[in-house]
Amino acid sequence: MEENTAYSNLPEQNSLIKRDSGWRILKKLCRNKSVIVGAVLIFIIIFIAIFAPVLAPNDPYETNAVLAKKGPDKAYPFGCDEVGRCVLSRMIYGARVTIPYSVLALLIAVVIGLFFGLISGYYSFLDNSIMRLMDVLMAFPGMLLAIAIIATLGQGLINVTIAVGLGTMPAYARLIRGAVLSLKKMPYVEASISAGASDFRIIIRHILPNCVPTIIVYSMLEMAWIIMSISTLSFLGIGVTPPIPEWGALISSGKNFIMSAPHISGFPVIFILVTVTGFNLLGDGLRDVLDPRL
Amino acid sequence: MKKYLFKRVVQLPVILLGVIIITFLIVQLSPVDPAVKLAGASARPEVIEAYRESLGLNKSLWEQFWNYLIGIFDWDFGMSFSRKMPITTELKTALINTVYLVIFARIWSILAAIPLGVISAVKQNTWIDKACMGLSLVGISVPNFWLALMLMKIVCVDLKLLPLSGMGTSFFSWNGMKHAILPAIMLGLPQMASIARITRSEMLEVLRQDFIRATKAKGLSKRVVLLRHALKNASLKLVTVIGTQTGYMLSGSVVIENIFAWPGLGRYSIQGILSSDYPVIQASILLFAVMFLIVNLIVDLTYSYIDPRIKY
Repeated sequence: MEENTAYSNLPEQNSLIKRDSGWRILKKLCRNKSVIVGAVLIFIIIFIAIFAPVLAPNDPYETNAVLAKKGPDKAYPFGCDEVGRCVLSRMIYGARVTIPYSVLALLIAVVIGLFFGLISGYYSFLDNSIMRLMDVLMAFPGMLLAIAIIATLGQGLINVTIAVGLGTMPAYARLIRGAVLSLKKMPYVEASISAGASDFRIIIRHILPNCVPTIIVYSMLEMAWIIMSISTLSFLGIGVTPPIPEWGALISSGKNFIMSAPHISGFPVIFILVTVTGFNLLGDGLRDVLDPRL
Repeated sequence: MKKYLFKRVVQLPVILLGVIIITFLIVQLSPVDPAVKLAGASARPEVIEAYRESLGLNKSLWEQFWNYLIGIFDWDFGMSFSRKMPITTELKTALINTVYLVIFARIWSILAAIPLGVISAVKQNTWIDKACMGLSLVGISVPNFWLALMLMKIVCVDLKLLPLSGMGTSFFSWNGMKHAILPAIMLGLPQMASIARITRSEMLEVLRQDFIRATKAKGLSKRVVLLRHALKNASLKLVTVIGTQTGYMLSGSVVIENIFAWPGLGRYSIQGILSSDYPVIQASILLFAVMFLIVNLIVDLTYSYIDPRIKY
């Protein structure tokens, strides 16, 4: 990974990457170990989410007092939770909660961040005020902006998603603004300005497409953070309401039985670990291949 | 440099004002009416009206904001909804507890991460390097709340080495330290992992450069080359990273304090959210943001001190 970064920092390598066709980028991606491993891990999780009803051995919502806190066996590979629900099935169905809501949070962050970033980078008279607003929002470290938004909106899965999305948004706005500022000086943008193209056309046709690699790379790394945040907020008890099998909530429900039945909280960690590692690896690898400057 | 300092000092109050406005809006936009909340839902309308009067809720929005602003500078953050008393003292204790924990965690994580990163860089691609980097990847990807639970189970319950949770009588006694060890380890662990990774990659970058070869050719000892020349040049990025990471540490303290029942600001704020105690949420989030702003200012100043070439 590190070797690749060092290599692509060479200037001639840089310009080569920019001139690459889509096919050659794909070939480069296939040769990058982190991209492959990351993509495979994410693919596995998405596969699990899609085929949850087929893959889950039991009903994730069915309770059974007799089976409460039972250890792993053949019928219940990962054991049962405190009310006798199958832990593995709940984990598998949890992928259907965590992944779509994380993507939704990411979309909220990207769309709003893109809007502010493009406007702020392109119209210099708005730049200062928008960026000071982002500075204010970024003064709330990490999850705290999300926590503040949850305080206002109230608890619940959709509010947590909105809050995490909005909490991530300022970083996007700043990132895209930076990209726009450098793209604005590119000869082809200046050419289309002098050709009399409208601002809207320049932003949509010339600047936006060139921001896409940056957005993709950053989004992969950000997905890892979003998944972790949603799980953490659920763990703290201000996210998902039971009985929704969100991964963080699963760990939270097992935390009181960590002495007598550590499997309840232990197994769901595997899925979080796999997903977060997957997005981190994919993001690192994509950054090395697509956007060596980031 | 002076110009930059001036710019920062001018900008800071503006951002601070923005932060205060946002925390003010948390309560204004929330569906809860503080007067009803304080008087109790079954209270007679006159009682609620009296509360409204005394809280200044019948004044205009601007007056309310002005009172809030003045209150902050008097360290007056209003009345707790759930305990029906001013939150001043609680808040002060919580703040001190969190600062103590964060400093503790910050110190050990830096002291552990930098040697780890330097060793990994020097012994690149050996088993030491791979083990360190593997460990740090796990440190980033495993949910730290689960790690904290496991650590608690192993160290406190199975081995009975440290107290389970809560806080000791005094910070600087052995008893107080014992309570702080586990939360500080957990708070610092992800930080340590990422600082170690960045130290490694920065060191690798610097070690490849010509001036390092020159110092080696000059016959300087390995220690001097590494510490005086390589690490010093790598430290530039490290300072920024350590600064922003300290911000994440503040937010990480929310989780860790809740697991270890550490009576700090993070625990206080979550308790506030769970009981819809808006003044508590408002005040603790405001204090978090102010701490973060202070850390960032210190980082910027250190940055320009380390590298005099930087002119803003």
